[in-house]
Amino acid sequence: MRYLLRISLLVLAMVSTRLFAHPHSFIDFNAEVTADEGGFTQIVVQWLFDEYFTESIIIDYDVDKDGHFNENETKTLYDEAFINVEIYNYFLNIELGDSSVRVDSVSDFIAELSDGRLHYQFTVPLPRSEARSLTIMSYDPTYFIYIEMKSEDDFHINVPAIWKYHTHISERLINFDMYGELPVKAYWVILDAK
Amino acid sequence: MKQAAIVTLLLILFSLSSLAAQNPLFKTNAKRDTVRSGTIADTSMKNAPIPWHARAKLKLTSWQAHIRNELYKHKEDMNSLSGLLIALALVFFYGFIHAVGPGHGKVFITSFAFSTRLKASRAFIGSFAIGLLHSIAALLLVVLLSYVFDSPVSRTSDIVRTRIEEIAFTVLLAIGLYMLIRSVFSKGHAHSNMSFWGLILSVGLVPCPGAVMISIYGLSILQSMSLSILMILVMGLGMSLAISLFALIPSLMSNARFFQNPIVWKIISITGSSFIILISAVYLFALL
Repeated sequence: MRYLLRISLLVLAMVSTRLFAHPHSFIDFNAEVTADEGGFTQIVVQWLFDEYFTESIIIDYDVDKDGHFNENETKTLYDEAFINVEIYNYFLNIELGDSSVRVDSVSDFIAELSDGRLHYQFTVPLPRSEARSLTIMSYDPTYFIYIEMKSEDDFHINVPAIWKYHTHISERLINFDMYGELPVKAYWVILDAK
Repeated sequence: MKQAAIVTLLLILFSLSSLAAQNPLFKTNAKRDTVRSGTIADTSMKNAPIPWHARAKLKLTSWQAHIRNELYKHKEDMNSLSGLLIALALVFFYGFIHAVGPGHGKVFITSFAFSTRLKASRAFIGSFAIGLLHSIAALLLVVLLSYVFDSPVSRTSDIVRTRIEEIAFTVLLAIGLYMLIRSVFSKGHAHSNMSFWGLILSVGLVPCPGAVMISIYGLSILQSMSLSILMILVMGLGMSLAISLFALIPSLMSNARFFQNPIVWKIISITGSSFIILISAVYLFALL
């Protein structure tokens, strides 16, 4: 009996939903951070989808099958396969200094196909702030999509000459509701006057 | 006895998961979407240490991504027998790891097995029926949308799956109520063929979103119906194995003296039925 219970506990531990979760789509996250003399101004975000999701989008939205999304196709894609994430703040958790920035709207949406993968690009305007540090995290709170921020190389910084900057990536623990806790990468940019 | 009670409680708690899974990029009109609005900034725990189980979970996520990448890279090598076998092995492991995660009806079949003291053979058959149906339903959905209705697969499959889930949770709610009544009033093992197969069909016929992606891979990238069917069946077997890990535990434990006590058995039976009712109702409410 004791042996059986131990085995059962082991199996339970192995297969528990608090230990295992399962996204169905994958995104590689890239971004370009821009600042002017007054501080941070915007972030241009790029999502690079996995080949499987890309294929399903090509089937449905590249109507003329030319390997590009024209104006009409992009509009349909925006309406049907993008803008719903507005209610998830575009999967972005941004902090300027110690203040949270709630992302309610984005602009300049672009959808492209490159090397067999779907790219989405959009611009996130940042509020004017004296803050000299910016933190970017990106995750889907439903965990249907896993968003990966691979390294600092996935970020580009565009700042005027008055600033020098340094960057690093750390990890934070995020609670994904029923899926439990997961580490998520946080990308930091810190501006210093030269 | 205390250990057995802890195991039972853990199993119920650990199996609690959603059958529902929708791509947040697509609007499905699920109430969940509006309920969750604005929560993303509120869940970060600054300076909290990263526990080992969180890292393990992330590792499993990256394995899934890795298996899918390998399968995609393998698309040119499917003509040889060795290439095909490697692809099938990848699909099997993907199905297994994928179904170990939340959803896929594990909570329903496990609660049912607890509630009815289901025999191991029946639990095994039920698990395999769910896993295979779950993946075959995904392939059928993609085939119907693409070839019969000429409808967008990516978004429409999500909408159709949501509608199927609404029906499935309604049926599961009814089965749970029926089982609860039988658990309360019956003196023997309260289990009928109708409720068993009703539960299997309700859970199994909800198409797996992961299998939808494998179907798209087979039909659109490989452009082969026979390979699609083969891969979907093998993925279904992988999922079945994962589901059976849950469903077999109640029958493995049923020989313990603790479970022979008629009062304990009655409590477990009622708890299992109540759990099916509770989870069906919660997710039905979230979808409607």
